[in-house]
Amino acid sequence: MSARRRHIEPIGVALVLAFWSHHAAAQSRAAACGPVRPADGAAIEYVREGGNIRPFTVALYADGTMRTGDTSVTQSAAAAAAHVDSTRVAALVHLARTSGFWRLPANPIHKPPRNPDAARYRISVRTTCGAHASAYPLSAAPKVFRELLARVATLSGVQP
Amino acid sequence: MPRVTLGIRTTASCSAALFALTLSACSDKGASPTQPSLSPSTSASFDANYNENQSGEHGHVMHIRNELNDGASPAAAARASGTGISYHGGPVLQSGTNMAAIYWAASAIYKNAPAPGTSGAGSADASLVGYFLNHIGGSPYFNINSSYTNSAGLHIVNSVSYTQYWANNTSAPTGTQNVTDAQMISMLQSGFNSGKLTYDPNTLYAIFTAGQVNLGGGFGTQYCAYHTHGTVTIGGVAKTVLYAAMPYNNGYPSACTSGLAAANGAADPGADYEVNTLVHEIEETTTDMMGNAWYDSRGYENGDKCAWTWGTTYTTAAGGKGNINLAGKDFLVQQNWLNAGSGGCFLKY
Repeated sequence: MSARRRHIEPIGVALVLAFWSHHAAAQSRAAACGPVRPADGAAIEYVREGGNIRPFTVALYADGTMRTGDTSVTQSAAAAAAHVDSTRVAALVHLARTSGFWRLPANPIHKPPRNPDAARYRISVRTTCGAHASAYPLSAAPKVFRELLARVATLSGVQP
Repeated sequence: MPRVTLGIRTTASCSAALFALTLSACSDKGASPTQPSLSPSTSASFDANYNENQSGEHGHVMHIRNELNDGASPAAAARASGTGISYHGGPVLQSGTNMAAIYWAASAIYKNAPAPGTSGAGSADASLVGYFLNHIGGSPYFNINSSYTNSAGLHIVNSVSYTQYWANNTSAPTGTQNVTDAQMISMLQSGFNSGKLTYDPNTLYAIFTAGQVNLGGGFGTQYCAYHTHGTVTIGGVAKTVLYAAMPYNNGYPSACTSGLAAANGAADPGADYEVNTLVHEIEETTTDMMGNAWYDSRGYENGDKCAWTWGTTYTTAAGGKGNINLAGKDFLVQQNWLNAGSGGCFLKY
């Protein structure tokens, strides 16, 4: 074994261990982050805003409570209430934490997009260890946003 | 990522420690997120890396917003006004906004609208949409747009002139047919070629359709109307044409009407609901005709900032809801963003 190789092998082992340790820690953090308690607000909010179309708000709570509101008419988001599977709410929160949604910018748009009157969709997720929100028009939304939006829409029954 | 160069004589433990430290520094930002922004109206940070290069929903023939944005004279340094909306150097319709209505349908879309196949002066349009277009200019409501200026600092004139209509029943779209921007521009071109329409660079050509005809492909799901621009050829010269896609909002009432009783009762609810999204497009075209003039830090134009908010409403004589009165007729229209004081949504100025 050359001198060079004697140095490389321990470095490789250390790198693998460091990666494993980091990955395990990240998994642990993600697992520990559940949806906030209903008393603390909605775990997931899904909003249509901006552009020239009537806005709406869908709020999903950790216990499965769903509230929908039409801000154009009521000026508040509590017009109707329903219930969804709470485990699916938790699963969506977990997906948001782990899928890359958390890295999306909160407000990525600075100038009128191609169609300035197309609605934007905002998803806000609140967990016990932090919150994040991001908004895009459908035509400019990255894949990770579109996938989360589709799942939230399916669960709530309110399509974009 | 640390660079691990083979052959460098560092100990494994030092490398591992350095690597672990670096990983920690770059670890999941979500571990301590700092954006608990749950209110859609509050915004904080922006990402300069946003890439707008995704495929659009329209397939515009002339998708030049980006180029124009980048090329507008003082675009690089938006003029902050402290009113919540900024000027970015592009053109506005400073001397007044002219309007043309194109009713593109085999039969009349609105009650008392011009007969299919005819064209003429806007003053001859007896529909509720025509009434609105003939009276919105000079109103306290439209005066809100006079709080905006052009590149020379001249205020926009509170004027809307409904100069021409064309009830075009040729190749009119039907049902839920999708109509692309290219097809809309081609239709406008045919109007200029035939003399049914007169070209004017300060005119917004509003294209109305019937039923659930899907102008632009996203009607009722992504928007209820939109404004944009394209290129037509006039006398052999390419010209920019401003136009608005105005599908029949009452065709998708849950997404595209106020949900409130029509201001003019049973007179023509479809027209009553349409004028709300129509005025949104008129005021945005007036202050941001090319998408590079007046908008805020989130890319919202003046109309966007107040869309679907009504301010103080009242019950009209017809039993509907209204919030402005134009020469005796009530209408319900969204508020508009005032570019004065500290800004805000208002119904008059």
